[in-house]
Amino acid sequence: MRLSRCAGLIAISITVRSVGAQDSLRFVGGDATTSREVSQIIDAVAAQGLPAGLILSKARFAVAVHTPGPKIVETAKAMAARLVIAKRAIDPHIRESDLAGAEAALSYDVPVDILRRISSARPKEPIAVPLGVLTQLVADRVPAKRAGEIVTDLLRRGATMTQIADLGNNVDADVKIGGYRAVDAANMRYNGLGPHLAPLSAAGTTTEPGITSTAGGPKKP
Amino acid sequence: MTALSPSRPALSSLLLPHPAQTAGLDAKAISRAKLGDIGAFTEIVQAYYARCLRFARAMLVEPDDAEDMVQEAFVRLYRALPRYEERQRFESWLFQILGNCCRTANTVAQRNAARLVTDDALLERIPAETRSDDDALSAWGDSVRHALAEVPEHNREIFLLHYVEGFSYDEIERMTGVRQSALKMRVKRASDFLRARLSRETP
Amino acid sequence: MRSPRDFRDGADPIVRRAIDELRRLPRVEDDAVAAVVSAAATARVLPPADEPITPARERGRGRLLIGGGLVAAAAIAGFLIRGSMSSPPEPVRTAATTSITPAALSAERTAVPIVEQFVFKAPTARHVSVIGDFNRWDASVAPMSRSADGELWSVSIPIVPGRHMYAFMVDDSLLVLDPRAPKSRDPDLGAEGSVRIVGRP
Repeated sequence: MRLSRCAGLIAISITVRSVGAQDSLRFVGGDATTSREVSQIIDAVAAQGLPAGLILSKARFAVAVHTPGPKIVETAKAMAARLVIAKRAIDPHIRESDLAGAEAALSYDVPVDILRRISSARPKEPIAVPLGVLTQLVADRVPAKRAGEIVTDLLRRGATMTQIADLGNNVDADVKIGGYRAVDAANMRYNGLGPHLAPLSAAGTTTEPGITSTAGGPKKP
Repeated sequence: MTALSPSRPALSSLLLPHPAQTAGLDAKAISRAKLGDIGAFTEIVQAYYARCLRFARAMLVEPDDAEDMVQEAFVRLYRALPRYEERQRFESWLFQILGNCCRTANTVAQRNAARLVTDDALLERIPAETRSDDDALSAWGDSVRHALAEVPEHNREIFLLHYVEGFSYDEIERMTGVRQSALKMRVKRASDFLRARLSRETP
Repeated sequence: MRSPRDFRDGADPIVRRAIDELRRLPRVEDDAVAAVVSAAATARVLPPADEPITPARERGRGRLLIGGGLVAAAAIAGFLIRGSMSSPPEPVRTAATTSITPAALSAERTAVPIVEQFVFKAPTARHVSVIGDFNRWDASVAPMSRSADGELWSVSIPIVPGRHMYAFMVDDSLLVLDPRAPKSRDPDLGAEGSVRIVGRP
C-alpha cells in the first residue's frame, strides 16, 4: 500500500502556531487555500520536532513545476506521514539530511526494514549517502530488495561514503551512457568494488529472512 | 654548588599554569564542538593551545614551526570531531594527533637539511620566552632545551608525554601502540641522557 | 580542566628540575587562537570525507593551512566566525562564485557540506540559477555566473552529502533539467528533476 494512502490513517494534530518563529518556513504558493493548508502541515510537523523544511522544499518544487493546489496539499501530508516513519526507521539518526534520505527512500516504497538495516550498519555516522544511493537505485528500477542488499553489504564491508557515492553515480552514468539495465550496472559496480572492501564475515553475512542473492547477483567472497 | 633548588619560590611561581588552563574547560564544550559549534571549539583551542605549543616546540627539529604544527593538529582534530566517540580521553586524542604532525614534520625536516648540532645553532632556536630576567634561570632553561633536543625523537616524545604532559603509561600505550615496557625504556633513556648532560652544568 | 598529573616523583632530582623547566608554558600570541579557529572552520567546508580518526604513524601528510590563503578561503565559505575575527569580505564574483544561506547551514549542523559545482550551457539566457532541495527551490539563493565567452553558467555551493534533486531556473521563468545529470521522477508529483548524489569531496 503506497504510503501516500496511509497519510489519513496517521493522526497528526494540526495546530495553528504563531507566525513569529516559523517565518522562515512560511509557504506561499498556489491559491490561498493551498498556502494555508500546507503551512498548517508544516507547522504541525515542526511541532513534532521533525524537519518541516523538507516539506516546504517539496512544496516549492511542486509550485515550480506547476502542480495543482490539492495535489500539493496531498503531497505535503504524505511527506509528513513518511517523516514520522522515517524517524522511527533510522533511529537513533536524527540529522536532517539523514531523515531526508530516509523519507525519500520511503517515497519510492522502499521497505522500512531495509532502512533499519542501513541505519544499524552505521549507527553513529551520517547515512544520507547510502540512503541516497539506495533511493537512486530504486528510482532507476533496481528492485528494492537487491538495492538494499548492495548498500547494506557495502556498509558492512567497510565501504567509505565516497565509494558508495561513486557507485551510485557510476550506475547512473552506466545506465545513461551505456544503456545498461540499472540492476545489471549495480551488480557490476558492486562486484567491481569487491577487491577493495573487507569480505563479508560470517557474522556479517545476513541470515535475515527474505534476503537471498538473486539469480544474477554476485557471490559473496 | 647548584644555583637552583627545587623549592625556590621564583621557580614554582613560573609553574603556575596559563590562566586559560585553569578556567576549567566545560565538559560540554566538546559535545557542542562535535555539533559544529565554533564558539565551543574556540574554548577548546584556548584551553589547550599553550600546552600544545609547549609540546611542539620541544618535539620539533625546527621549533619555529611549532605554531603551524599546532594549527595543523587542531584543524585535523576539528575535521575529525564529528566522529570522536569519547572512547579515548580528549587530551590523549589531541596529543596523539599533534605527535603525528610533529613526527611527520621532523621526518621532512631531517630529510631536507643536515641536522645542525652545533651549540650556537641550537641556542638561536630556543624560544624567547625562556630568556627571563633571571640570567641563571635562563641559562638553565637553555641547557635543558639544548640537551632535550639531542635526545632521539622516539625517546624524547615519550619523555615529554609522560613527565611534561602527564599522560600515564597506559594512555601512552593506547596513543602510540607501543608496549609499556618499551615506553618505560624510552623514558629511562631520555632521563639518563638528560641527567648525564645536565649534571655537567651543575657541579 | 584538571591540572596535568605529576609523575615526576620517581625521577632523579636533576631530571626533575629539567622537567620543571620544560613544563613552563609559553606565552600565547593574541591572535593565535583566532587563527587556528579560522583555519579549522575553513577546512571544515572542504573535508576529505573519510579521513581516519587516528592517523597512522607512517602517514606522511604534512599539509599545512597557513598564511594568506585563509582569508580568501574564508570568503569563499561565507563563514562568519565569532570572536575576535571580523567577518570575511563579500565573495568576489568570478566564473565560479559561491553562495550559501546561513539558515540552510545552521539547520544542518552535524553534516559537513561538500562544495559542488553546477555548470549549464545557456548562451542566450539573461539569468540562470540553480534551484534544488539544498536551497529549498529558491531561485534567488544561487544565481550563476556567466563564463567569459558567454556560453557557460556556473556556481559552486556547499551541499550536505546525500541525494539531491535540482534544476536550473532560466530567466526566472523556465525550469530546465541538467542535460549532464541523471533524472528521476518525483513519486508524489510525477514531475522530473535532475539528481546528484553528493558524497565525493
